[in-house]
Amino acid sequence: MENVIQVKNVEKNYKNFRLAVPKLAIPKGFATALIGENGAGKTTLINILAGTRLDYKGELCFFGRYSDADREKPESGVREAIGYTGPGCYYLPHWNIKQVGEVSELLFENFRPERYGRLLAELGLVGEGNPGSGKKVSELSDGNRMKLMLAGVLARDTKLLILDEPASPLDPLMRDKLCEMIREYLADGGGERSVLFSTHNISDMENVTDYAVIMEHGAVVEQGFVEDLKEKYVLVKGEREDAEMARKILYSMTENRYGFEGICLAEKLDGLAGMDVCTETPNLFQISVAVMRENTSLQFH
Amino acid sequence: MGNRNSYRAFAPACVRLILYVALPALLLALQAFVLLYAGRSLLEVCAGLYGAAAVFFDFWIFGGICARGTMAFEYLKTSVRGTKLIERALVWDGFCHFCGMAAIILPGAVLERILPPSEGVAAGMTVRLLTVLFLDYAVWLLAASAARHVTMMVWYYLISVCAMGIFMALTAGALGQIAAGHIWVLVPAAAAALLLAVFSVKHVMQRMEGSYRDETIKTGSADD
Repeated sequence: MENVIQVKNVEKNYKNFRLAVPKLAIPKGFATALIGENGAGKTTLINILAGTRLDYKGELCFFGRYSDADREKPESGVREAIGYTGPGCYYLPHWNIKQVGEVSELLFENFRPERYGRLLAELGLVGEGNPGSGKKVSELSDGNRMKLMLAGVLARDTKLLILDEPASPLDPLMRDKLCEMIREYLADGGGERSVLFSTHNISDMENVTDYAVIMEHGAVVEQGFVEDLKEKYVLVKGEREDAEMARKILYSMTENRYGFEGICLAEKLDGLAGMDVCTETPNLFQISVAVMRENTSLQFH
Repeated sequence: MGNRNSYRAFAPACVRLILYVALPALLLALQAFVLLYAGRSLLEVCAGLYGAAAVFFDFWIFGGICARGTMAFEYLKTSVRGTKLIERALVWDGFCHFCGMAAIILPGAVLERILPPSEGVAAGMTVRLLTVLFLDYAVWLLAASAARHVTMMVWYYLISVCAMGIFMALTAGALGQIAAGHIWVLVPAAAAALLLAVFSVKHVMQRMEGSYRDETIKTGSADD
Protein backbone atom coordinates (compact mmCIF):
# COMPACT_ATOMS: atom_id res chain seq x y z
CA MET A 1 0.00 0.00 0.00
CA GLU A 2 1.34 3.43 -0.90
CA ASN A 3 1.49 6.19 1.62
CA VAL A 4 0.90 9.85 0.92
CA ILE A 5 2.69 10.98 4.09
CA GLN A 6 5.24 9.12 6.18
CA VAL A 7 6.30 10.47 9.53
CA LYS A 8 9.50 9.33 11.20
CA ASN A 9 10.62 10.37 14.69
CA VAL A 10 8.80 13.68 14.66
CA GLU A 11 9.10 15.55 17.93
CA LYS A 12 8.09 18.96 19.11
CA ASN A 13 8.39 20.32 22.61
CA TYR A 14 6.33 23.00 24.28
CA LYS A 15 6.65 24.07 27.89
CA ASN A 16 4.10 21.57 29.21
CA PHE A 17 3.54 19.35 26.21
CA ARG A 18 5.54 17.07 23.97
CA LEU A 19 4.55 15.71 20.60
CA ALA A 20 6.37 12.48 19.81
CA VAL A 21 5.42 10.41 16.80
CA PRO A 22 8.08 7.77 16.06
CA LYS A 23 6.25 6.36 13.06
CA LEU A 24 3.07 7.20 11.21
CA ALA A 25 1.90 6.48 7.68
CA ILE A 26 -1.12 8.09 6.06
CA PRO A 27 -2.37 5.83 3.27
CA LYS A 28 -2.78 7.19 -0.22
CA GLY A 29 -6.19 7.28 -1.83
CA PHE A 30 -8.14 7.29 1.42
CA ALA A 31 -9.71 9.66 3.93
CA THR A 32 -7.85 9.55 7.23
CA ALA A 33 -9.34 10.92 10.42
CA LEU A 34 -7.03 12.24 13.12
CA ILE A 35 -8.94 11.79 16.35
CA GLY A 36 -8.08 12.86 19.86
CA GLU A 37 -9.30 14.83 22.84
CA ASN A 38 -8.48 18.51 23.39
CA GLY A 39 -4.75 18.96 23.80
CA ALA A 40 -3.88 15.61 22.26
CA GLY A 41 -1.61 17.17 19.66
CA LYS A 42 -3.76 16.97 16.53
CA THR A 43 -3.32 20.59 15.46
CA THR A 44 0.37 20.48 16.31
CA LEU A 45 0.84 17.46 14.07
CA ILE A 46 -1.31 18.91 11.31
CA ASN A 47 0.61 22.19 11.39
CA ILE A 48 3.85 20.25 10.99
CA LEU A 49 2.49 18.19 8.10
CA ALA A 50 1.00 21.25 6.39
CA GLY A 51 4.25 23.14 6.80
CA THR A 52 2.88 26.09 8.75
CA ARG A 53 5.18 25.25 11.63
CA LEU A 54 8.79 24.38 11.03
CA ASP A 55 10.15 24.14 14.57
CA TYR A 56 10.18 20.39 14.95
CA LYS A 57 12.61 17.50 14.73
CA GLY A 58 12.20 14.44 12.61
CA GLU A 59 11.57 13.46 9.03
CA LEU A 60 8.62 13.66 6.76
CA CYS A 61 8.10 12.10 3.37
CA PHE A 62 5.39 13.32 0.98
CA PHE A 63 4.00 11.37 -1.96
CA GLY A 64 6.60 8.68 -1.48
CA ARG A 65 9.57 10.76 -2.53
CA TYR A 66 9.68 14.34 -1.23
CA SER A 67 11.19 15.25 2.11
CA ASP A 68 10.08 18.20 4.22
CA ALA A 69 13.05 20.14 2.83
CA ASP A 70 11.78 19.41 -0.68
CA ARG A 71 8.38 20.72 0.36
CA GLU A 72 9.85 24.22 0.72
CA LYS A 73 11.28 24.18 -2.80
CA PRO A 74 8.96 25.63 -5.46
CA GLU A 75 10.18 23.20 -8.13
CA SER A 76 9.07 20.15 -6.12
CA GLY A 77 5.41 21.18 -6.38
CA VAL A 78 4.64 19.67 -2.97
CA ARG A 79 2.99 22.78 -1.56
CA GLU A 80 1.01 23.20 -4.78
CA ALA A 81 -0.27 19.67 -4.34
CA ILE A 82 -1.36 20.17 -0.73
CA GLY A 83 -4.52 22.02 0.24
CA TYR A 84 -4.71 23.05 3.88
CA THR A 85 -7.45 24.58 5.98
CA GLY A 86 -6.74 25.79 9.50
CA PRO A 87 -8.81 25.75 12.64
CA GLY A 88 -9.57 29.45 12.77
CA CYS A 89 -9.58 31.71 9.81
CA TYR A 90 -6.32 32.21 8.04
CA TYR A 91 -7.36 34.98 5.72
CA LEU A 92 -6.74 38.63 6.55
CA PRO A 93 -9.98 39.77 8.24
CA HIS A 94 -10.54 42.75 5.95
CA TRP A 95 -10.34 40.64 2.78
CA ASN A 96 -13.64 40.00 1.10
CA ILE A 97 -14.71 36.79 -0.60
CA LYS A 98 -13.70 38.12 -4.01
CA GLN A 99 -10.27 39.15 -2.73
CA VAL A 100 -9.70 35.68 -1.32
CA GLY A 101 -10.10 34.35 -4.84
CA GLU A 102 -7.74 36.98 -6.26
CA VAL A 103 -5.06 36.23 -3.66
CA SER A 104 -5.48 32.49 -4.18
CA GLU A 105 -4.92 32.95 -7.90
CA LEU A 106 -1.63 34.69 -7.19
CA LEU A 107 -0.54 32.15 -4.60
CA PHE A 108 -1.35 28.92 -6.43
CA GLU A 109 -0.84 28.00 -10.06
CA ASN A 110 -3.47 25.27 -9.79
CA PHE A 111 -6.23 27.58 -8.50
CA ARG A 112 -9.29 27.55 -10.78
CA PRO A 113 -11.31 30.77 -10.46
CA GLU A 114 -14.34 29.36 -12.29
CA ARG A 115 -14.43 26.38 -9.93
CA TYR A 116 -14.07 28.76 -6.98
CA GLY A 117 -17.10 30.71 -8.17
CA ARG A 118 -19.09 27.53 -8.61
CA LEU A 119 -18.14 26.28 -5.14
CA LEU A 120 -19.07 29.60 -3.56
CA ALA A 121 -22.52 29.30 -5.06
CA GLU A 122 -22.79 25.62 -4.17
CA LEU A 123 -21.88 26.34 -0.55
CA GLY A 124 -24.31 29.22 -0.34
CA LEU A 125 -21.75 31.99 0.04
CA VAL A 126 -22.83 33.97 -3.01
CA GLY A 127 -26.12 34.35 -4.77
CA GLU A 128 -29.50 35.57 -3.69
CA GLY A 129 -29.99 35.64 0.03
CA ASN A 130 -26.32 34.81 0.71
CA PRO A 131 -23.41 36.92 1.98
CA GLY A 132 -22.11 37.86 -1.48
CA SER A 133 -18.59 38.25 -2.84
CA GLY A 134 -18.19 41.71 -1.28
CA LYS A 135 -18.68 40.40 2.23
CA LYS A 136 -15.60 40.72 4.43
CA VAL A 137 -14.09 37.64 6.01
CA SER A 138 -14.43 39.24 9.45
CA GLU A 139 -18.16 39.62 8.89
CA LEU A 140 -18.72 35.96 8.08
CA SER A 141 -19.89 33.50 10.70
CA ASP A 142 -17.51 30.72 11.75
CA GLY A 143 -19.38 28.27 9.57
CA ASN A 144 -19.27 30.51 6.52
CA ARG A 145 -15.58 31.15 7.05
CA MET A 146 -14.95 27.41 7.03
CA LYS A 147 -17.03 27.11 3.85
CA LEU A 148 -14.87 29.83 2.31
CA MET A 149 -11.70 27.94 3.26
CA LEU A 150 -13.12 24.75 1.80
CA ALA A 151 -14.10 26.56 -1.41
CA GLY A 152 -10.55 27.90 -1.58
CA VAL A 153 -8.82 24.51 -1.28
CA LEU A 154 -11.30 22.56 -3.39
CA ALA A 155 -10.93 25.12 -6.18
CA ARG A 156 -7.35 23.90 -6.62
CA ASP A 157 -6.05 20.78 -8.33
CA THR A 158 -4.44 19.16 -5.34
CA LYS A 159 -3.42 15.63 -4.43
CA LEU A 160 -3.70 15.94 -0.67
CA LEU A 161 -6.09 17.83 1.57
CA ILE A 162 -5.02 18.49 5.15
CA LEU A 163 -8.04 19.83 7.01
CA ASP A 164 -7.86 20.88 10.65
CA GLU A 165 -11.26 20.48 12.30
CA PRO A 166 -13.24 21.17 9.13
CA ALA A 167 -16.51 19.95 10.64
CA SER A 168 -16.36 21.84 13.94
CA PRO A 169 -18.06 25.09 12.94
CA LEU A 170 -20.43 23.49 10.44
CA ASP A 171 -24.09 22.69 10.97
CA PRO A 172 -25.19 19.04 10.55
CA LEU A 173 -26.41 19.61 7.00
CA MET A 174 -23.15 21.18 5.98
CA ARG A 175 -21.21 18.37 7.66
CA ASP A 176 -23.08 15.95 5.47
CA LYS A 177 -22.21 18.14 2.50
CA LEU A 178 -18.57 18.14 3.59
CA CYS A 179 -18.54 14.33 3.65
CA GLU A 180 -20.05 14.32 0.18
CA MET A 181 -17.38 16.74 -1.05
CA ILE A 182 -14.60 14.64 0.43
CA ARG A 183 -16.01 11.52 -1.22
CA GLU A 184 -16.26 13.30 -4.57
CA TYR A 185 -12.71 14.64 -4.19
CA LEU A 186 -11.37 11.14 -3.59
CA ALA A 187 -13.49 9.55 -6.31
CA ASP A 188 -12.41 12.12 -8.91
CA GLY A 189 -8.79 11.45 -8.02
CA GLY A 190 -8.87 7.81 -9.10
CA GLY A 191 -6.88 6.70 -6.09
CA GLU A 192 -4.26 9.43 -6.42
CA ARG A 193 -5.89 11.85 -3.98
CA SER A 194 -5.91 11.62 -0.21
CA VAL A 195 -7.51 13.50 2.65
CA LEU A 196 -6.29 13.91 6.21
CA PHE A 197 -8.62 15.68 8.61
CA SER A 198 -8.74 16.13 12.35
CA THR A 199 -12.08 15.93 14.02
CA HIS A 200 -14.03 15.87 17.24
CA ASN A 201 -17.21 15.00 15.36
CA ILE A 202 -16.39 11.35 14.92
CA SER A 203 -20.02 10.33 14.46
CA ASP A 204 -20.63 12.84 11.68
CA MET A 205 -17.39 12.09 9.88
CA GLU A 206 -17.37 8.34 10.32
CA ASN A 207 -19.15 7.62 7.06
CA VAL A 208 -16.31 9.23 5.12
CA THR A 209 -13.45 7.88 7.23
CA ASP A 210 -11.42 5.02 5.83
CA TYR A 211 -8.42 5.18 8.14
CA ALA A 212 -8.27 6.42 11.72
CA VAL A 213 -5.38 7.70 13.79
CA ILE A 214 -6.11 8.23 17.48
CA MET A 215 -3.86 10.48 19.49
CA GLU A 216 -3.41 11.13 23.20
CA HIS A 217 -0.82 13.22 25.04
CA GLY A 218 1.13 13.92 21.88
CA ALA A 219 1.44 10.31 20.81
CA VAL A 220 -0.40 8.01 18.42
CA VAL A 221 -2.11 5.36 20.55
CA GLU A 222 -4.05 3.55 17.85
CA GLN A 223 -4.28 3.59 14.08
CA GLY A 224 -5.68 1.45 11.34
CA PHE A 225 -8.32 1.07 8.69
CA VAL A 226 -11.76 1.47 10.21
CA GLU A 227 -12.84 -1.99 9.08
CA ASP A 228 -9.77 -3.53 10.69
CA LEU A 229 -10.37 -1.60 13.91
CA LYS A 230 -13.94 -2.87 13.95
CA GLU A 231 -12.56 -6.38 13.86
CA LYS A 232 -9.90 -5.64 16.45
CA TYR A 233 -12.40 -4.29 18.97
CA VAL A 234 -15.74 -5.70 20.09
CA LEU A 235 -18.64 -3.99 21.84
CA VAL A 236 -19.70 -6.13 24.78
CA LYS A 237 -22.93 -5.79 26.73
CA GLY A 238 -23.70 -7.79 29.81
CA GLU A 239 -25.49 -8.10 33.11
CA ARG A 240 -24.61 -5.96 36.07
CA GLU A 241 -23.52 -8.85 38.24
CA ASP A 242 -20.75 -9.67 35.77
CA ALA A 243 -19.47 -6.09 35.64
CA GLU A 244 -16.65 -6.53 38.15
CA MET A 245 -15.29 -9.59 36.37
CA ALA A 246 -15.71 -7.97 32.97
CA ARG A 247 -13.91 -4.82 34.07
CA LYS A 248 -10.64 -6.77 34.17
CA ILE A 249 -11.07 -7.82 30.54
CA LEU A 250 -12.70 -4.83 28.93
CA TYR A 251 -10.63 -2.04 27.43
CA SER A 252 -13.11 0.48 28.79
CA MET A 253 -16.49 0.13 30.40
CA THR A 254 -19.58 2.09 31.36
CA GLU A 255 -22.01 0.78 33.90
CA ASN A 256 -25.57 1.49 34.93
CA ARG A 257 -27.97 -0.28 37.27
CA TYR A 258 -29.08 -2.70 34.58
CA GLY A 259 -25.79 -3.80 33.15
CA PHE A 260 -22.55 -2.79 31.59
CA GLU A 261 -21.30 -1.93 28.15
CA GLY A 262 -17.74 -1.76 27.08
CA ILE A 263 -15.16 -2.21 24.42
CA CYS A 264 -12.98 -5.26 24.47
CA LEU A 265 -10.10 -6.35 22.33
CA ALA A 266 -11.40 -9.23 20.21
CA GLU A 267 -8.43 -11.38 21.22
CA LYS A 268 -9.50 -11.14 24.86
CA LEU A 269 -13.10 -12.24 24.32
CA ASP A 270 -12.29 -15.68 25.72
CA GLY A 271 -11.85 -14.00 29.09
CA LEU A 272 -15.56 -13.33 29.15
CA ALA A 273 -16.46 -17.02 28.79
CA GLY A 274 -19.11 -18.06 31.23
CA MET A 275 -20.68 -14.59 31.39
CA ASP A 276 -24.03 -13.72 29.89
CA VAL A 277 -22.83 -11.19 27.33
CA CYS A 278 -23.69 -10.21 23.82
CA THR A 279 -21.26 -8.74 21.35
CA GLU A 280 -21.69 -6.23 18.58
CA THR A 281 -19.47 -4.53 16.08
CA PRO A 282 -18.57 -1.14 17.52
CA ASN A 283 -18.61 2.03 15.50
CA LEU A 284 -15.61 4.31 15.18
CA PHE A 285 -16.99 6.69 17.79
CA GLN A 286 -17.19 3.90 20.39
CA ILE A 287 -13.71 2.61 19.53
CA SER A 288 -12.22 6.10 19.68
CA VAL A 289 -13.82 6.97 23.00
CA ALA A 290 -12.69 3.65 24.47
CA VAL A 291 -9.11 4.12 23.33
CA MET A 292 -9.07 7.74 24.49
CA ARG A 293 -10.53 6.82 27.88
CA GLU A 294 -7.82 4.22 28.32
CA ASN A 295 -5.14 6.83 27.75
CA THR A 296 -6.65 10.03 29.06
CA SER A 297 -5.82 11.87 32.24
CA LEU A 298 -9.46 12.89 32.66
CA GLN A 299 -11.26 11.38 35.65
CA PHE A 300 -14.28 9.15 35.03
CA HIS A 301 -16.56 7.65 37.73
CA MET B 1 3.21 37.75 -10.11
CA GLY B 2 4.41 41.34 -10.23
CA ASN B 3 4.63 43.92 -7.47
CA ARG B 4 1.52 45.70 -8.66
CA ASN B 5 -0.62 42.56 -8.79
CA SER B 6 0.63 41.55 -5.37
CA TYR B 7 -0.31 44.95 -3.99
CA ARG B 8 -3.72 44.87 -5.64
CA ALA B 9 -4.42 41.59 -3.89
CA PHE B 10 -4.08 43.34 -0.53
CA ALA B 11 -5.36 46.83 -1.28
CA PRO B 12 -8.99 47.05 -2.37
CA ALA B 13 -9.71 49.18 -5.42
CA CYS B 14 -11.70 51.73 -3.44
CA VAL B 15 -8.82 52.23 -0.97
CA ARG B 16 -6.37 52.75 -3.84
CA LEU B 17 -8.74 55.20 -5.48
CA ILE B 18 -9.07 57.22 -2.28
CA LEU B 19 -5.37 57.18 -1.38
CA TYR B 20 -3.84 57.85 -4.78
CA VAL B 21 -6.50 59.82 -6.66
CA ALA B 22 -9.23 61.33 -4.54
CA LEU B 23 -7.25 62.38 -1.49
CA PRO B 24 -4.33 64.00 -3.35
CA ALA B 25 -6.81 65.83 -5.60
CA LEU B 26 -8.80 67.02 -2.59
CA LEU B 27 -5.73 68.19 -0.71
CA LEU B 28 -4.32 70.01 -3.75
CA ALA B 29 -7.68 71.73 -4.24
CA LEU B 30 -7.61 72.71 -0.56
CA GLN B 31 -4.08 74.12 -0.93
CA ALA B 32 -5.14 76.12 -3.98
CA PHE B 33 -8.19 77.45 -2.20
CA VAL B 34 -6.29 78.59 0.88
CA LEU B 35 -3.50 80.12 -1.24
CA LEU B 36 -6.01 81.99 -3.35
CA TYR B 37 -8.28 83.31 -0.65
CA ALA B 38 -6.09 83.46 2.45
CA GLY B 39 -2.64 83.78 0.95
CA ARG B 40 -1.34 81.06 3.27
CA SER B 41 0.64 77.98 2.44
CA LEU B 42 -1.00 74.76 3.52
CA LEU B 43 1.61 72.46 2.01
CA GLU B 44 2.98 70.98 5.23
CA VAL B 45 -0.49 70.60 6.76
CA CYS B 46 -1.77 68.81 3.66
CA ALA B 47 1.28 66.56 3.65
CA GLY B 48 0.62 65.73 7.30
CA LEU B 49 -3.05 65.08 6.64
CA TYR B 50 -2.18 62.76 3.81
CA GLY B 51 0.34 60.89 5.94
CA ALA B 52 -2.23 60.48 8.72
CA ALA B 53 -4.86 59.28 6.26
CA ALA B 54 -2.34 56.84 4.79
CA VAL B 55 -1.78 55.36 8.25
CA PHE B 56 -5.53 55.04 8.81
CA PHE B 57 -6.22 53.43 5.45
CA ASP B 58 -3.43 50.92 6.04
CA PHE B 59 -6.07 49.18 8.20
CA TRP B 60 -7.72 47.98 4.99
CA ILE B 61 -4.45 46.90 3.39
CA PHE B 62 -2.23 45.22 5.96
CA GLY B 63 -4.38 45.75 9.04
CA GLY B 64 -3.29 43.66 12.00
CA ILE B 65 -0.84 41.62 9.99
CA CYS B 66 1.78 41.70 12.75
CA ALA B 67 -0.66 41.47 15.64
CA ARG B 68 0.03 38.90 18.30
CA GLY B 69 -2.22 35.89 18.17
CA THR B 70 -3.53 36.45 14.69
CA MET B 71 -3.32 33.90 11.93
CA ALA B 72 -2.73 36.57 9.32
CA PHE B 73 0.22 34.77 7.74
CA GLU B 74 -1.19 31.25 7.82
CA TYR B 75 -2.78 31.28 4.39
CA LEU B 76 0.26 32.90 2.81
CA LYS B 77 2.44 30.22 4.39
CA THR B 78 0.61 27.44 2.60
CA SER B 79 2.12 28.57 -0.69
CA VAL B 80 5.76 28.77 -1.76
CA ARG B 81 4.84 32.16 -3.25
CA GLY B 82 3.40 33.54 -0.03
CA THR B 83 6.58 35.20 1.21
CA LYS B 84 7.26 36.82 -2.13
CA LEU B 85 3.65 37.96 -2.47
CA ILE B 86 3.60 39.90 0.74
CA GLU B 87 7.11 41.23 0.31
CA ARG B 88 6.27 42.59 -3.13
CA ALA B 89 3.01 44.03 -1.85
CA LEU B 90 4.83 45.85 0.96
CA VAL B 91 7.49 47.24 -1.38
CA TRP B 92 4.89 48.45 -3.85
CA ASP B 93 2.82 49.92 -1.02
CA GLY B 94 5.84 51.91 0.13
CA PHE B 95 6.53 53.10 -3.40
CA CYS B 96 2.90 54.11 -3.99
CA HIS B 97 2.72 56.05 -0.76
CA PHE B 98 5.93 57.89 -1.57
CA CYS B 99 4.47 58.82 -4.94
CA GLY B 100 1.20 59.85 -3.28
CA MET B 101 3.03 62.17 -0.91
CA ALA B 102 5.12 63.55 -3.73
CA ALA B 103 1.90 64.14 -5.66
CA ILE B 104 0.76 66.49 -2.92
CA ILE B 105 4.03 68.19 -2.05
CA LEU B 106 5.54 68.84 -5.50
CA PRO B 107 2.36 70.12 -7.21
CA GLY B 108 1.74 72.05 -4.00
CA ALA B 109 5.06 73.81 -4.55
CA VAL B 110 4.01 74.58 -8.12
CA LEU B 111 0.81 76.09 -6.77
CA GLU B 112 2.87 78.27 -4.44
CA ARG B 113 4.82 79.53 -7.47
CA ILE B 114 1.60 80.36 -9.29
CA LEU B 115 -0.14 81.79 -6.21
CA PRO B 116 2.67 82.98 -3.95
CA PRO B 117 1.71 83.01 -0.26
CA SER B 118 1.69 86.38 1.45
CA GLU B 119 3.68 85.00 4.39
CA GLY B 120 5.38 81.85 5.61
CA VAL B 121 8.27 79.85 4.18
CA ALA B 122 9.38 81.00 0.74
CA ALA B 123 8.05 78.95 -2.14
CA GLY B 124 10.15 76.68 -4.32
CA MET B 125 12.94 75.82 -1.91
CA THR B 126 14.03 72.36 -2.98
CA VAL B 127 15.49 71.49 0.39
CA ARG B 128 12.26 72.41 2.10
CA LEU B 129 10.18 70.29 -0.24
CA LEU B 130 12.43 67.26 -0.01
CA THR B 131 12.68 67.53 3.77
CA VAL B 132 8.90 67.67 4.13
CA LEU B 133 8.54 64.73 1.74
CA PHE B 134 11.09 62.56 3.54
CA LEU B 135 9.73 63.44 6.98
CA ASP B 136 6.17 62.70 5.88
CA TYR B 137 7.27 59.38 4.44
CA ALA B 138 9.37 58.44 7.48
CA VAL B 139 6.59 59.25 9.95
CA TRP B 140 4.08 57.30 7.85
CA LEU B 141 6.41 54.28 7.73
CA LEU B 142 6.96 54.34 11.48
CA ALA B 143 3.29 54.81 12.32
CA ALA B 144 2.09 52.16 9.85
CA SER B 145 4.66 49.68 11.17
CA ALA B 146 3.32 50.27 14.68
CA ALA B 147 -0.32 50.16 13.62
CA ARG B 148 0.11 46.80 11.92
CA HIS B 149 0.50 45.30 15.39
CA VAL B 150 -3.09 46.10 16.31
CA THR B 151 -6.33 44.80 14.90
CA MET B 152 -8.88 47.38 16.01
CA MET B 153 -9.68 50.32 13.79
CA VAL B 154 -9.88 52.72 16.74
CA TRP B 155 -6.15 52.12 17.43
CA TYR B 156 -5.35 52.84 13.80
CA TYR B 157 -7.24 56.11 14.15
CA LEU B 158 -5.34 57.07 17.32
CA ILE B 159 -1.98 56.17 15.78
CA SER B 160 -2.79 58.21 12.67
CA VAL B 161 -3.65 61.25 14.79
CA CYS B 162 -0.37 60.85 16.71
CA ALA B 163 1.48 60.52 13.40
CA MET B 164 0.05 63.83 12.25
CA GLY B 165 1.17 65.49 15.48
CA ILE B 166 4.67 64.03 15.29
CA PHE B 167 5.02 65.04 11.65
CA MET B 168 3.92 68.63 12.32
CA ALA B 169 6.34 68.94 15.25
CA LEU B 170 9.26 67.51 13.27
CA THR B 171 8.45 69.63 10.25
CA ALA B 172 8.19 72.82 12.28
CA GLY B 173 11.62 72.13 13.74
CA ALA B 174 13.14 71.20 10.42
CA LEU B 175 11.74 74.20 8.58
CA GLY B 176 13.03 76.45 11.33
CA GLN B 177 16.49 75.01 10.79
CA ILE B 178 16.21 75.45 7.03
CA ALA B 179 15.09 79.05 7.47
CA ALA B 180 18.22 79.57 9.60
CA GLY B 181 20.34 78.22 6.77
CA HIS B 182 20.92 74.75 8.22
CA ILE B 183 20.02 72.76 5.17
CA TRP B 184 21.78 69.66 6.51
CA VAL B 185 18.43 68.64 8.09
CA LEU B 186 17.65 67.09 4.72
CA VAL B 187 20.28 64.41 5.34
CA PRO B 188 18.80 62.84 8.51
CA ALA B 189 15.31 63.16 7.04
CA ALA B 190 16.36 61.25 3.92
CA ALA B 191 18.31 58.70 5.97
CA ALA B 192 15.33 58.12 8.25
CA ALA B 193 13.03 57.65 5.28
CA LEU B 194 15.38 55.15 3.65
CA LEU B 195 16.08 53.18 6.82
CA LEU B 196 12.44 53.04 7.80
CA ALA B 197 11.46 51.97 4.29
CA VAL B 198 13.77 48.98 4.62
CA PHE B 199 12.78 48.36 8.25
CA SER B 200 9.03 48.38 7.57
CA VAL B 201 9.34 45.58 5.01
CA LYS B 202 11.95 43.61 6.97
CA HIS B 203 9.89 43.83 10.13
CA VAL B 204 6.82 42.25 8.56
CA MET B 205 8.94 39.59 6.88
CA GLN B 206 10.59 38.81 10.20
CA ARG B 207 7.19 38.43 11.82
CA MET B 208 6.22 36.07 9.04
CA GLU B 209 9.40 34.05 9.50
CA GLY B 210 8.77 33.99 13.22
CA SER B 211 5.24 32.68 12.75
CA TYR B 212 6.73 29.38 11.57
CA ARG B 213 7.91 28.92 15.14
CA ASP B 214 5.47 28.67 18.01
CA GLU B 215 8.08 29.85 20.51
CA THR B 216 8.34 33.17 18.67
CA ILE B 217 4.68 33.85 17.96
CA LYS B 218 2.75 32.68 20.94
CA THR B 219 -0.71 31.89 19.67
CA GLY B 220 -1.92 30.54 22.98
CA SER B 221 -1.75 27.02 24.40
CA ALA B 222 -0.05 24.20 22.56
CA ASP B 223 -2.92 23.10 20.42
CA ASP B 224 -6.26 21.41 20.33
